[in-house]
Amino acid sequence: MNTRVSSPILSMTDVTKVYRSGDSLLGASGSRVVALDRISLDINAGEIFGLVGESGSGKTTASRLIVGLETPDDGRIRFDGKDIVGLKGRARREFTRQVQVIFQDPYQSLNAHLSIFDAVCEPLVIHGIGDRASRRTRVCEALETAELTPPEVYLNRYPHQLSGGQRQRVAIARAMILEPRFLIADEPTSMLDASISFQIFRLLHRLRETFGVTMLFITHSLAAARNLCDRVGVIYRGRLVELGTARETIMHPRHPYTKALLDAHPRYGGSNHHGFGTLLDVERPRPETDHCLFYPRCRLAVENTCNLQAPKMKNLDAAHRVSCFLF
Amino acid sequence: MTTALLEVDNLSIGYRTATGINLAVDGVSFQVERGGSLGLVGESGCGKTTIGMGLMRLLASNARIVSGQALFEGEDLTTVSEKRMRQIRWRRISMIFQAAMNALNPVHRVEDQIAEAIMTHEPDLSNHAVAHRSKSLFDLVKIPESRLRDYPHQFSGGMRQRVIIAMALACNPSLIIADEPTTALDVIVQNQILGAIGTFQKEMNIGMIFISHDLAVVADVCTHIGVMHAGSLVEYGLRQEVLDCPGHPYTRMLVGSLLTLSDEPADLAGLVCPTVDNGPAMSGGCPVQTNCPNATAACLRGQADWVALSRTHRVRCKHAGEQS
Repeated sequence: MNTRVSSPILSMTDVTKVYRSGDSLLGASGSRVVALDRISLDINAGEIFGLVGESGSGKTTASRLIVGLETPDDGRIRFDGKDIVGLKGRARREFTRQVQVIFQDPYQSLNAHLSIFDAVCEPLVIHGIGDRASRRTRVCEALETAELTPPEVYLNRYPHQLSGGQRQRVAIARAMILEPRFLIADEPTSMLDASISFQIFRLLHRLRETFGVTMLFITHSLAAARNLCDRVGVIYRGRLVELGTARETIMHPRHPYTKALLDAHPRYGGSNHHGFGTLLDVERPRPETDHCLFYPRCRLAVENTCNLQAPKMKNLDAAHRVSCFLF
Repeated sequence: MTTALLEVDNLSIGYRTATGINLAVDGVSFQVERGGSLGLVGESGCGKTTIGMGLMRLLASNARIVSGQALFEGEDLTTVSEKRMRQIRWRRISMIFQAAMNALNPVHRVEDQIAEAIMTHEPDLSNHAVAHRSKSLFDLVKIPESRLRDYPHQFSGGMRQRVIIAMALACNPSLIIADEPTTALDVIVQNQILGAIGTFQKEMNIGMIFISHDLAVVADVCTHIGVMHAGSLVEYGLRQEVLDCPGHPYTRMLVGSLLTLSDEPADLAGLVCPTVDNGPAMSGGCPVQTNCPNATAACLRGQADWVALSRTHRVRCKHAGEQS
């Protein structure tokens, strides 16, 4: 893929987000959870970038930071070269028109009191686009884009009358109606059955082909990332551990954690896969000092290196980066 | 030829609704051998959990077994008395529920909770024997002895699920019904749990019904696969038969939408849509008729009979064996 584009559409530089809990008024500090730790990555125009990680790894935090629902504690997020933190007024509105999100759970992300027409039309109303007649046309077009045909059938329905797959399509129509340039899909199929997920993946793929929309696809499934994404980043406990093309990263992983994920992937008749075995049976105690976060579980860890400092991202080649002392 | 551990024959379970009995499970037959594992796969709402609950006789109050029988070690689970059922439950058949790790009591040590499960069902055991058994159970599911006196909140989700598995094994059952035991877990933890389930199942020669929506997981652990759709079993066979040469259009669709890790990604754009919309279902017809690409008028009139594709592999489709 076109990994050598002069200016990426979205770029994160050393983005850090810390959640604090239990701070008392007297200044005694409570516990800190580092949700994202110095994440740097670029997403190029027109690509589908997959962010792969387990629950709690910080992938959803990343998406919330990108759309501006949260602000980073450190680092910069730039969209089209412009810093998105602290955008106000017209610039902020223009940014929110260009960046849209499809959330995980279509049973919760749609307002039960709004008809499908109202739900899909709402972004147009908020951004003051079009009049009554033209909005109706655009809503119908958006529903057709999301493969809800014929659209007229759906306009006056309510979410409870639709299946999970149809609801997620409504959410996609709602995201696409503003003709965004950047779409974040946050585990869009984790609530759906396998055959429906497959159709949603195909729809997302088609949106990229037809409209050239850039996508950040957040998932815990390596198989989904392999089949949908051009490039992927693997995130572990808030740190990016490996980044490269989907093919290289998933078929020829370098980082011990990515290898462990692949080992754990359920497979039938996987005779040609003989496990990397990078995961320790019994975890080591977590070191007090800064360390590689995977050190306690890593069979390949080198004592006096991995437990004393955190590794930095290294370039293996132009497209493949890994954060591990073994390289 | 050994007799099967569990033989389910033409089991139907219905829910009472305002408009009459609504069949959630419709004439399902299968068997589970000692030491064998049957994976029941299907999408949400296809009746797979209802089968598990029906076999345990733990159905909701508005549900009842309409017809059929389930012979387990010579007894028909659908007709035995409630008193007898209480003796069978957990001692002979135990169940691992979906997201069961959230069912541990937060104010009791895990050790005591296991001991309670053992003592409730085998009140004659001495305290010493109970302690000994809970230790060996924790051994089996690989929880270090030092953690026995911990509380559930000190355990990760995966470890809590192991405690639940240990509890299901507490009384040496001969059949385990596992209902989506790994659904809420991360892939690495899921793999470890599936490994643990496979180990004890072989070591203790236990029969298992593994209920899941995820064909990939079922393919990983089960010897037999039964595919369910809308309350009916539509295909049943050995794992490799069902996966390698699926006979039913619905199974073909499920296998086709199984995303795998391969050198070349699936051609998302090029694949023909695996489902079509044939309009509302006709009652009495094939359960797959509404979105089957091969449906004909005959499919709308009545459900197909079973067609044997091999000695172990059968399909319920009027067009079985035809090339699509």
